[in-house]
Amino acid sequence: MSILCFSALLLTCAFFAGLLGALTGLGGGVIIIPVLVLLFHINIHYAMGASLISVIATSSGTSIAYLREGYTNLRIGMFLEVAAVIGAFVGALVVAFISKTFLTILFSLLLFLSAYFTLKRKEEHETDKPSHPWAVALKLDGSYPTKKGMMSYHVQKVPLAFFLMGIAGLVSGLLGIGSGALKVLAMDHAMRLPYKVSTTTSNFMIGITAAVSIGIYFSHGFINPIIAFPVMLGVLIGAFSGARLLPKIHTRFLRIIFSVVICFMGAELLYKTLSGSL
Amino acid sequence: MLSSKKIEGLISLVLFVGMMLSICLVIFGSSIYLFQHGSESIHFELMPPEIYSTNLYQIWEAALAFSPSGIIELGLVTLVATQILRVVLLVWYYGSMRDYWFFFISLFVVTVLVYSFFFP
Repeated sequence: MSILCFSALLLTCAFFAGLLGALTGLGGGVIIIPVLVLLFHINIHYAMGASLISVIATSSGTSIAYLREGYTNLRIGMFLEVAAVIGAFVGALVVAFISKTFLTILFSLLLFLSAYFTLKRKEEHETDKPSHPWAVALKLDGSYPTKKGMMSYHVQKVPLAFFLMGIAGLVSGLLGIGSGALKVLAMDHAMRLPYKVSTTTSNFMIGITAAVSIGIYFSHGFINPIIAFPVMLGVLIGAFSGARLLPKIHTRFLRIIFSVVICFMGAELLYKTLSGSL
Repeated sequence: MLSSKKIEGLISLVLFVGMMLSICLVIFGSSIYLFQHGSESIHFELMPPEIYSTNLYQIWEAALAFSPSGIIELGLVTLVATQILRVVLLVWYYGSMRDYWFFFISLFVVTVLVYSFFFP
């Protein structure tokens, strides 16, 4: 295969990964890594590096619009980022000392979990309970635009969300993904933020968390520019197209199909790793 | 005094400029690379780590020397630098608001970012 042909194929696959990532809310990373490893036989370290680059690009690109719309809660984002950057730093440091086999097994487990959460996701969960004392002290409460004007919201279970965010950072650094699903989990289920606020705030944070790991990935030699450029451009274009398409299509059906596909990829990764053919 | 609306707009602008710069560099570098090497056959399993740089100084030198992979990497580094810059903006914002808790929170995040950026 010529390099031109390889780059074009990679760009195309990355485009679809970005598109589906945006439509299902999983993010491009979880999808592009198994594709790179299974289809292109790329070393998982390079796949993680390229994925993390695309994660930063997507986070920055989508934050541009979200910030102007006024959904993102910067205070919650920065507060939780403290835990996320520590997790990411540790994860990215440790990753060089972990065997690729173990890493691949971890990754396939993550795919199964992602499939589960994609199916289970609930959309409405605001609550009237007063805020957690930490949220009051740090002034984390906010308001967001709705059709009926600005709506204010309260913030629950701050310590739990902080802890979950540390785990999200660790997973991000360890596996080269944005771990947006875990970040949304912390803000959706623990803090009980409105859906739009938790997705946009998580999106704002993802780029910063990933940037911590990228610095260390560079020094490990995980960032291969020849693999990273088609992945970054492809995922970015895909994510933007996905965001445009999102209001027009029904995502419930897509989520079911998608969970089946990532379960299948997880199973294949697990099988190939355990049978030693990867 | 800055309103939170203003700082959101400012970060959004920084992200936009950084993204555009990074994308241009990556597209420029990859075009040169594909023009020079596009027809060669790929064997990424054997790809030696020497063909690309792994620290900031090398990347800067390679990009100045007009090496295509160096230019792509400079684009990637620009993307990361944009992330640092957006937190620096927040440090400055909370500092100017005299919100010391959040000033130190953002300062901590920037410190970790910068440290890993220059990680040996």
